[in-house]
Amino acid sequence: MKFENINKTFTYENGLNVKLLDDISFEVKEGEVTSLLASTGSGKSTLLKILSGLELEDAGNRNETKACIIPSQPSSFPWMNVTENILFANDKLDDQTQKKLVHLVGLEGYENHYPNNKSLGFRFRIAIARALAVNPKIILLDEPFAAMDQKTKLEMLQLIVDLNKETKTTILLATSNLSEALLVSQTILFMKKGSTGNLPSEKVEYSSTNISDRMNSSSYSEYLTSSEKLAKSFATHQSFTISL
Amino acid sequence: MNSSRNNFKILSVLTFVYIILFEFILPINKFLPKPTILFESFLHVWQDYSLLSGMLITTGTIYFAIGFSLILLWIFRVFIIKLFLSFQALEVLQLFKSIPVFLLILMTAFWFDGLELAKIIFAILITFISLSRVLAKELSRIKPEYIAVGMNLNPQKIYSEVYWQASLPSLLELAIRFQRILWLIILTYEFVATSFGMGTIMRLALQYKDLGAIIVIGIIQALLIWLGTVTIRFVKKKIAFWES
Repeated sequence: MKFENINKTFTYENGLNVKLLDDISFEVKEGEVTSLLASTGSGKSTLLKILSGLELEDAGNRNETKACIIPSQPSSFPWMNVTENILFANDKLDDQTQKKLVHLVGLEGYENHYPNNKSLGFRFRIAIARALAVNPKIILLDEPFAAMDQKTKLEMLQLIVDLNKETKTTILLATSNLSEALLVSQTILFMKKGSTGNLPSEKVEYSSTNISDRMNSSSYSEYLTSSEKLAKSFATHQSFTISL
Repeated sequence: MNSSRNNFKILSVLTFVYIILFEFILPINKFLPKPTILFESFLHVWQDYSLLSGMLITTGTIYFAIGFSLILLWIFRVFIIKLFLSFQALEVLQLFKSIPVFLLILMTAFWFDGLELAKIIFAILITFISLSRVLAKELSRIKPEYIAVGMNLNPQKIYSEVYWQASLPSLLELAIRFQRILWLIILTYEFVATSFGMGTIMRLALQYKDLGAIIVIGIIQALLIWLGTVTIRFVKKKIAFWES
């Protein structure tokens, strides 16, 4: 999936124009998890909104892909239980697919539970199942783990790796955390405020699909060392983080 | 639980002080009647002032206005939400805030010469406008990401199943707060304009300088407001249990 020459300029109330995205181009390989690593305020959320069609770009080719966005606060409906949330996205789902989705996100036995007062992890699982229900070409995750605790974060990273392995769904994760990007994705795209042209990228490969094994592997340490330097050159703010 | 226990304790102490002070130490005074007179008033107001019918008229008007306005909003939710989203509804509705309610009461009373039906319609209108203002405010707060999954769905489904449901807790929360204001408005209306209801009874009691009856009616009103609050809270817990 190629996204080319995406531009976005914001005009403030005082008439000031700020070019947030300047001719950005990048490629996301189908069936893979790609991370868009960028510090806060560099425009990654705007980019994701453009890709999902929630916001219009000034110019460029966003590829008109059927994309589903999951915001940083997972948007499950608290007045619907797990099944109703999934069916809201696609009420034509048959029972078997519905059960498969519930199984994929690890919510078996919770079909009648409501997300109200439940953990962010629970709501994230619902949001993923609901996104999968519309059978998108790509799922866009906008910093979904930022507010999660370490344990939940690791569980969710594992969920993404497993999902990608089983369904071959293309996932683009926008994050400001290098470790998240390294553990979960096959490709990392680096972006900073004022990035222009093709975004630089780095390939990541592990022998294991288990997140804990990946964390303890020598490959992870090597990737961390090599990417850290590159990532830091892209960090424009303190908000850029390395460890989980 | 602790706060209601404290309230009960404070109320018990105040009642005890009132009994000791006004029954035994200051039985004849211009401020409060003797507790025994108050007790007798409790028994007499029902017959002397036809309090039961007055109570039914006032309570009926207030809670019918709240219930009917909510039902009206619910029935026409798709149309109203669509309308509110198409223009700056909140700004227009905020204009009503600056109109003095007392002026509206006097004008309605003047135009309709204290007609009971006019009072009911007045109560419904004022409740409907207040609830609409909250709905418009809630609609402006809903983020597009929240309904991102429904972008390809029928807009009517999004209006009725997302926008309405997301606003419902705030609407019922307002109903709880607004009923106290509506009590004041309707009592004032009855006090100045009609010949039925608790406001009219209070006017009569004031004319007869019957302080005991005024206090008794006030206590009954406080109990009715408390009962109204408990009932709406119960309804909210059942039909809008999630956070707004």
